[in-house]
Amino acid sequence: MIEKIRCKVVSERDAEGEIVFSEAPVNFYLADPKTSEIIEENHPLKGVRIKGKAVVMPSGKGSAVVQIDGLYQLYMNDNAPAIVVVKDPDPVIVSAVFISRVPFATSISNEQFEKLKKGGKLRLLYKEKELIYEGP
Amino acid sequence: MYLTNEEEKILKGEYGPGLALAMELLVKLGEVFDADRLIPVKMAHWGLSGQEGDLAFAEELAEGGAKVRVSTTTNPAWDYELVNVFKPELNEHEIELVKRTYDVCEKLGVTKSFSCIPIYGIEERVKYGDHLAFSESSTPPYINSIIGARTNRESSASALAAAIIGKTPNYGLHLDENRLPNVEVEVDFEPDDFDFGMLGVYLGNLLSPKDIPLIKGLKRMPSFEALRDFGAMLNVSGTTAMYHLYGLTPEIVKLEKEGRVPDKLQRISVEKKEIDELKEKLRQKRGPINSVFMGCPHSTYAEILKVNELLGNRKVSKNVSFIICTSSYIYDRLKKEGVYDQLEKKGVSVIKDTCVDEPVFKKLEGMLGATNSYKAYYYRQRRNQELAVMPLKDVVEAAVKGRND
Repeated sequence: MIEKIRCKVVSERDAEGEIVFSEAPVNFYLADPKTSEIIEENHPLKGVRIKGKAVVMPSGKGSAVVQIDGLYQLYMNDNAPAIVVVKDPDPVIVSAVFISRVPFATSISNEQFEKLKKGGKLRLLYKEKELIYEGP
Repeated sequence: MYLTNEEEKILKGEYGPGLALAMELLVKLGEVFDADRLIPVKMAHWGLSGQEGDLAFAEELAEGGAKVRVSTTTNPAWDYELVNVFKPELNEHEIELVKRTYDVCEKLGVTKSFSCIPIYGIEERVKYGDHLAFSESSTPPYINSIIGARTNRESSASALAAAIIGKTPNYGLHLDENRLPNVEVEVDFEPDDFDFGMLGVYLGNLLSPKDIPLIKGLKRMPSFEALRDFGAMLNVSGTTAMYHLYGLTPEIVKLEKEGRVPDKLQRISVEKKEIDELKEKLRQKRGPINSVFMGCPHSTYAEILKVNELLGNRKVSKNVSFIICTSSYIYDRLKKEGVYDQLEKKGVSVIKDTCVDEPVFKKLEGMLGATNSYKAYYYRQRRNQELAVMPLKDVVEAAVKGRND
């Protein structure tokens, strides 16, 4: 089943990746830049490698700056996610994807967010402002 | 988002790549948050960190010829002079980052204030209703709530971009409708300064990012230090950029007068017992200490005088590094008035331009310390150091004894 999801974008690049879904907000500062593995204790994605994935989360978290450095370090080590999808955006996560030029989709509905939980593949078409979702 | 011709020209790069990059970030933010236009800001605060991601962006702006257009202050990184004091084992990369930070501030025309209480001492320059772009998480609550000026909880990069363009997208807390309270918090006891920080920790855990609490039950306006800590701790355990204090802060007084306070508010009540339990939990690590960290956020002049007074003729235990981080403004005043020297003789190091979460304190890692700040506890933990959290007067006693009993 293939479905189109309207979204807002930041980076001007198309991208695709397999979904890694997180129930909890992700702070990229707590990902190991050398392996892309999430290292935050008690996090649902602890131990998961996010390189090349479409990371889907409800929101970002952390101070005004650490998120930016976290994503930047992943990017510099060629370990960035393919797409970051955030249901509710904040200025910090928008700045972080802007600086690292990581493809980003945001402002999707609760219902669409819940659907992505099932996993599968996402393709981001930035000009169309659309996510193409291919379920499992 | 609507852009004027001039703003379009900036975006297209007619004034150079630095301004274009700053404008591009503001436009992206405006689009994501449905801003209608850009509005002028009076002042900005760049919450720099000495970290690479943030620094790389600032350097790209500077290399592209950008300079700040409005008065812009910065957060602390660390004072390079301290290398001679603490003799930490730093790698070249850590040293290079702090040097690059100093250089880029110079190029961008940013005021090297290096303090995380940027509003201290300049409160009279910020007026009710002013629009600002501030990115130190503890300061937006003070600006929005106590002064009634307006800022979003900016990222370091978005505050810097706003400083360069002199404008910010019109969204979030710049708009009246997003500043109304939606949660009522009843406090059933009279908190002292230290309790306000604890109350911040407690509420930060309960509130959602978009909540604006209305705090009831306070009899008088809390001190600057209490409000600094309340705002800071709200943003360590959670994300809250604004609150109202019933009968005390300007916007709720105005809303009340105009009969515009929303009537259906969620309710939370906080009892003294809950705050006492939290305090007990945070100071429970007992035993010898090797350090005291004060100044997260930076200590005020009054607090540092208080430490001097509490010590009296006593000295800090020789096993303890007693560190107070503050702004260079306060530091210079203490030096001039001789308080700095008195404290130094008693074993207290007053340090300027520096954050407790920096590599320069490496030698203190791995052993128990004491602090009056939950935020210091939270960040030092990431650097492998446990801190027991307690009120200022107890911190001083622990420092003299060399242990937390």
